[in-house]
Amino acid sequence: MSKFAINGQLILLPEVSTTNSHLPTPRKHSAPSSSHELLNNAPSPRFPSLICCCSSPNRNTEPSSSGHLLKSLGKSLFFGSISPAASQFSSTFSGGGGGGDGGLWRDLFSLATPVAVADEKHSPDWDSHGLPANIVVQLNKLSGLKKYKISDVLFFDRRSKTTAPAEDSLSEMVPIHPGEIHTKAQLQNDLETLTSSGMFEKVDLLGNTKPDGTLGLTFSFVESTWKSAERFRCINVGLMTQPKPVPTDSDMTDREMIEYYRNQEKDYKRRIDKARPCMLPGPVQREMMLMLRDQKNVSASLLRRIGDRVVKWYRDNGYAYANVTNFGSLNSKELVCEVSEGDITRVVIQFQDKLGNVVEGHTQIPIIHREIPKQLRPGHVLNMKAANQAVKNIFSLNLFSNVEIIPRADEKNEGGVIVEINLREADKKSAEVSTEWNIVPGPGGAPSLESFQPGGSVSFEHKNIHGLNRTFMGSVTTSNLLNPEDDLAFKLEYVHPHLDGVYNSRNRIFKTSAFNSRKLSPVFTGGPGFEELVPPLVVDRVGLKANITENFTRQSKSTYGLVLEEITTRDGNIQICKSGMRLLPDGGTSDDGPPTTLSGTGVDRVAFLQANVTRDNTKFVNGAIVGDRTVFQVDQGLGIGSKCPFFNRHQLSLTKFIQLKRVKEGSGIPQPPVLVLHGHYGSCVGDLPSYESFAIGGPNSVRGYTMGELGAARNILELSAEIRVPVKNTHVYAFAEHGNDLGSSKDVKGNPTAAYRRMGHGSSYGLGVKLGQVRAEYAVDHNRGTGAFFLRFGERY
Amino acid sequence: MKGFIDWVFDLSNSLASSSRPLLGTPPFSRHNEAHHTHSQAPALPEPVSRSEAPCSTSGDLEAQPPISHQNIPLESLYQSSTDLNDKKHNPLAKIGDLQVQFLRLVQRFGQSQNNILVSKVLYRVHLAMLIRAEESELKTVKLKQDRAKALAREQESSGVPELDFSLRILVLGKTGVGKSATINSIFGQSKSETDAFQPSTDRIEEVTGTVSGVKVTFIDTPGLHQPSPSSARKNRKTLMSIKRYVKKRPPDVVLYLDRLDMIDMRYSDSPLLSLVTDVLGAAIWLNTILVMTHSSTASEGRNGQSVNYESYVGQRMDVVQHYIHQAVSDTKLENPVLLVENHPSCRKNPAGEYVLPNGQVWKPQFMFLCVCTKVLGDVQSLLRFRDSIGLGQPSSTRTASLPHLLSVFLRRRLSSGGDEAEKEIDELMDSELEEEEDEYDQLPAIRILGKSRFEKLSKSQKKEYLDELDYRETLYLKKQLKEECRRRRDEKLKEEEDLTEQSDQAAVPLPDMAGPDSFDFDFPAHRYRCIATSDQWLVRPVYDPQGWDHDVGFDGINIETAVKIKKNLFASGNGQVSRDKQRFTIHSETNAAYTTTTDSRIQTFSVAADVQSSGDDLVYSFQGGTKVKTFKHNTTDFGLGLTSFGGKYYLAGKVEDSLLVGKRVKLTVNAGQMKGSGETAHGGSFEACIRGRDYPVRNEQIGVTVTALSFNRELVLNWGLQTQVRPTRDTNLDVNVNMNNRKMGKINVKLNSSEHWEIALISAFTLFKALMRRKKAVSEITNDDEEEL
Repeated sequence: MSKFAINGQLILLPEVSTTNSHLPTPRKHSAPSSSHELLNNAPSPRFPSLICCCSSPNRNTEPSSSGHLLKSLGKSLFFGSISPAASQFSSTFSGGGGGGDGGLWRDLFSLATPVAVADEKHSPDWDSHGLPANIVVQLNKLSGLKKYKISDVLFFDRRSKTTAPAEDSLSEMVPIHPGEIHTKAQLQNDLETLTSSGMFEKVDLLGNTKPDGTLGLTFSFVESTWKSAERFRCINVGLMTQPKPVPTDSDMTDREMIEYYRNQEKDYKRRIDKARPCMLPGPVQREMMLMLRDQKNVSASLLRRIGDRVVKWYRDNGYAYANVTNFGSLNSKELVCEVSEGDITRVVIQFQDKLGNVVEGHTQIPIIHREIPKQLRPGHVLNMKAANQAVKNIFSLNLFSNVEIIPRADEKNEGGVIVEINLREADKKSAEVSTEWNIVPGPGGAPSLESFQPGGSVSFEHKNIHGLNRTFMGSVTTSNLLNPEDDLAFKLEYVHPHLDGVYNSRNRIFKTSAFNSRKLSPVFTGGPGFEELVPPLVVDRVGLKANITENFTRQSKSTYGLVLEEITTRDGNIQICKSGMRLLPDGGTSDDGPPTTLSGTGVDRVAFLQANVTRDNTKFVNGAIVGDRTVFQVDQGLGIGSKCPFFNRHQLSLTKFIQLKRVKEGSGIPQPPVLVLHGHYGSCVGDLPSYESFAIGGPNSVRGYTMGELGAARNILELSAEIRVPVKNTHVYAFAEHGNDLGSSKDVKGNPTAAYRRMGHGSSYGLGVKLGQVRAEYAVDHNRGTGAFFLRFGERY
Repeated sequence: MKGFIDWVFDLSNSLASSSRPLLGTPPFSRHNEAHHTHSQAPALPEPVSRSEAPCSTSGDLEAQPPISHQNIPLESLYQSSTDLNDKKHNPLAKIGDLQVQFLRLVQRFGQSQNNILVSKVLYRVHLAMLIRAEESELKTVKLKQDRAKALAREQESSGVPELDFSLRILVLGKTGVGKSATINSIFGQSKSETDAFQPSTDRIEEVTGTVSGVKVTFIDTPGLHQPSPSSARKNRKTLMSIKRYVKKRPPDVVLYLDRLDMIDMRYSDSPLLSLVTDVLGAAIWLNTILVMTHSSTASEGRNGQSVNYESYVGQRMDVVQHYIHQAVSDTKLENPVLLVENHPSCRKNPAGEYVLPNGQVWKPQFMFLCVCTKVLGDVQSLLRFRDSIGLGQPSSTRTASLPHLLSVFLRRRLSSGGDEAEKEIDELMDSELEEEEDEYDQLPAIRILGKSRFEKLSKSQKKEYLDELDYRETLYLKKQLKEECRRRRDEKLKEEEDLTEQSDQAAVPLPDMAGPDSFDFDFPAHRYRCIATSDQWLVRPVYDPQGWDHDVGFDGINIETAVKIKKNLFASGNGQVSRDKQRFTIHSETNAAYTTTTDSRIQTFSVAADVQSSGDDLVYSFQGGTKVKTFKHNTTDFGLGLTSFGGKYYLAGKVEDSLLVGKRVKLTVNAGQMKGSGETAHGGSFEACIRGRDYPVRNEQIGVTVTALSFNRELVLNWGLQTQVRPTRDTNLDVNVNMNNRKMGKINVKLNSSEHWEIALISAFTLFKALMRRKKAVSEITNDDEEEL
């Protein structure tokens, strides 16, 4: 059973990460620090071998079948590929096989299944052959009552007089392995299987007695051969009914025989014409053709090789359920390879409870349906990549604790596959309260509580409201839950996906959240040499944000919405301050710096519209990003708020990742060298409070400087270039950047750039190396001429 | 001259403090009184010196104490014999020479030996000698000074031998303060080109001349520019070239020039001072004399009123000194100050020397101060004191707390490879694997109810039904766990065959990361996009909620890795690191374990290395240990540790034993000791833990911990109680209580539930309260505003 399951969890923590650790067990991973861990347990389906066997044309080895066989186009050689995962296919195959008996298939499978072997392995005892050592024994001379231990298995090709190597697929056809114990009946059965497989004209089994009582086996065989073919054709026979064999009468006249075969031939031609073309690409087909031409005649081993190659292509491309079922039109110019590609006939979505019982789900089915990629819908060929993607997509809905996709053979449609998606729903609601009290020595010396008011945090989440993946969540943290002080941090959020309805292909997400944040202002920082003289200024924001996001592609999207915000500027002691400060030599501070707010009171209220359009067609080429990205953002003030702020603030950033060399895509192939060009322009019109001005300098603006080290301005222009050179499976890069205020620093109230002795513009250059998600770089600040080493998470562009 | 005195004083103080055991009581605080002369260190341990004390207080240098007279011949004999052998090696002898030279110069510059400065320098020299002198030499030292004085007088009058004293002076300062002009004034001739309006020195020049028989070399440097963002680069370049120059030929004295007539209370030059410190090193200020040029300019006070010249100079000096303090972050440093006037029309005395408004003749003063500085500097370097005088924040104040280190050491468990918890569970399950059949399989079948049918049930039925499901779930999970264990065990056996099997994961881009909330535009998810890799490295950003406004706030990086190098060699590491322009913090733990299995005994050897930054320093700790499974359910742990912090080393050792009683009780006892910098701390802990019946499927447990730490005869006991219970299904309750014998403690209660969503209402209450409070505050503010109006 090849199963694709993702098991993981998302813990809400400030640390956010993406990771994909490949762990061998799908155990619950409960590392408290991991916030987003994708545990991907997707063992690639193992198809150990191809069992090649044939049922109908076995008569060509029999004396009764005469020369007419040479013309038998309609005759087909069946190829079956089995795997532990495909055991459910056995029933499908049983009906097939032009004229052969289905039971044979079953026998074959039962022999091939490792379970049977494994059972025998455990049987404790075996019998010695009881014969003199080193003599050759015919199979029929062996005792039917004894259990023989097999010490080795050899394959001897009588035609070429060579011993086939053990790793040859031949050995996989025979379910006998050294060290195992078999009875005579089993061996006879195996031999019969081989004889009837159509691969061989003749197969014999000889025993070779060993001194230690074990038995060595030698299969000596002569392969079947057919006339050489020139062309190769591959057809998709999935979902087609196998032709019903017309019973042949043993006492047919030759004429009737010819008529019969001609009919079969005609049927087969029709069948080929009806068949859908298969996905096997031209180059691979040509490769097969070359394989055919190289050989004088078509031998069973060649067919086996061709079959292996074809199946390999399918496996490599993710079509895990594709099988070569048959080789047709043997002894003709054109060899026909019939492939059952594994067409999806049905997709079943079902929910399981924690005990694995199938239950009614809470989630509405369309929600899940949306996440299934097209390639996994009925009418498409099952591709494991698509299945993998589906698992990921569904899992990223964050509604399920376990997602499994199990492909099953469709019993009603031959060659069809039913995709079963098993989901285990996670808890819908969760709430957590954690509180803390401190104990201090009380008045009498006895320990007592510091205060009865608990400090701590409350968080809650209600997921999947109405089964439509709507989420309401919130968290509150404060040192006093009963009477919160200034240190209250809160967040409330409601997310409403599929705004246009679940069935609408347009996916707009409505999200509204109320929260607060308290961050350092990059506007009120000192320039070089003045860092210590400017005390930090905290920008305290609290407000409401509501927006609608529409995803066009995976990466391109647009967002628009409304923001209501109250901004308070505070000094280091959380006291409201109205203007920028600086330290005086006597240790005091002066507060005659630039005003921090528009209103001048230290508190601003503002309402504005916000929009963002991202066009992003970057993609990964062997791990390197290639393509281009354009982001346009605009804030439009509505004239509502303190001092009726009316403003427009817009930014455009363009990034181009130019691939400098063509490379083949695939794992293990190095990345191409990439040149990155980036430009960012921002501008403000109208009322501009200093906290909204553009800060120049910083890891995402001009590297080599700290945030805002170059200034705060009304208009900015940033230009940068980076060249990335692949080294092993990562890259090193060199960059040069420049940021400029375009002389607009003086237009910011109080000119904070000049007041804190900043340059207003600056360049930097440096070298770096990307280690996974981390970039380690050495950047030289061109203004000062000094360099520094930085470690950063994520890309700069 | 107060500055200089204090400076000498401070240095001597710092020396004294470092050598207190030798000197006994240090009553230095009264030293700036002129009565105390150089000849006596007030607290010499010898009784002889005490007897001298009355004589010395007379302050008359001419009156030589009789005792020393008697001793001279003896001493000189002794001295001369040792001189020959030791002159080259013995720093004391060299200092003696220096002392003589200094005394000669004192005479030459016409300074009285009663001069405070002279006495201070001599005192310092003496002190330095005392500190360095060994026990046997103490007497010699004591008497040497008097002999030196006589020698100096003798030599100076005869002029033989020629005075071999040279000065190298580095001149620093902004452009136009008069660096070159000062040099010219000293030599009395125009040796260096000057210009009143333009910077005239554009490269480092050496100007050499002789003043009063002393060879003086000035290193004239290009002026530094008024600090501004654009000049920073130029200034740094200039300073770098000075640094290179100075490295080759170090100066004896550094002059930092500034104009006295520039009034700037904000002192915008502070970035310049920090830059100088940054490039040339903080030690440069130890030998620096502040020189105020344009000193005769009529001075005006801050408010335009003319102020006393002295107080004006004092004020001006204080500002500069303050910023130097800030630059080196050490307030103890006191630089001497010189006033200089180079203007040709400056008032002159009859001898043709420039005279300052306060009547001082500055040139000899200048030379003399330079000589003093050099002599002191030489003494220091000869005795290698400079290294011991650290500028900046004294690092010695930050000492590691031994009890803290010990408790960390005791708590730090060395991993023995693989997933610890997994192993323990495996062990637990091992016994169960064989004996019991799965209870779950023996349960009768249950019909899962549909939603509508479930709704129809009565309340009690619902409860029963859910409880039944819960019970089954527990059993089911147990069964799964067992299967998991079995599988893992099988895998372990198989593992030996193929370790290399790794599935080739297709490169699939991971879903975009969700960022923290902000009022800005969307989170720039594109920066954090990546491809799923089957790396063993787990890298995550560290979010700093107090980061920069308009920035995501990913400030550091968290890295975790675990590698199985070989079958029984296992390494893991995790750490958090952030590296920025100014700051570097790291907190990392690495661990390697090697497991050997001999017979039934499993032994694990582990080593660990941890690095943690604490302020600007790094704490390194190494730990090695071995874990032996002595008998079933009992493991013993031995550990050794070495911690290094701020140049100090702490050695520790511990023993730990953990015993499993039955399946549900675990006892752990450990004890350890840590030694370092002459102190010892002992500690130990006891831990008992009772697990719930369904452990490890349901994580219910009660634990008691007692830890004891003793340090400096003080014992700190700490006890704690940890409980994890599951009062109803879908609800977990954790209660932690911690107390110590100082009656301080903490109670933590944590409750989470997936059923009882009502507890979230607490947050509604909190938010409501916050809103009310805010409204009140706002109305107060508006009221205030109205009142103001």
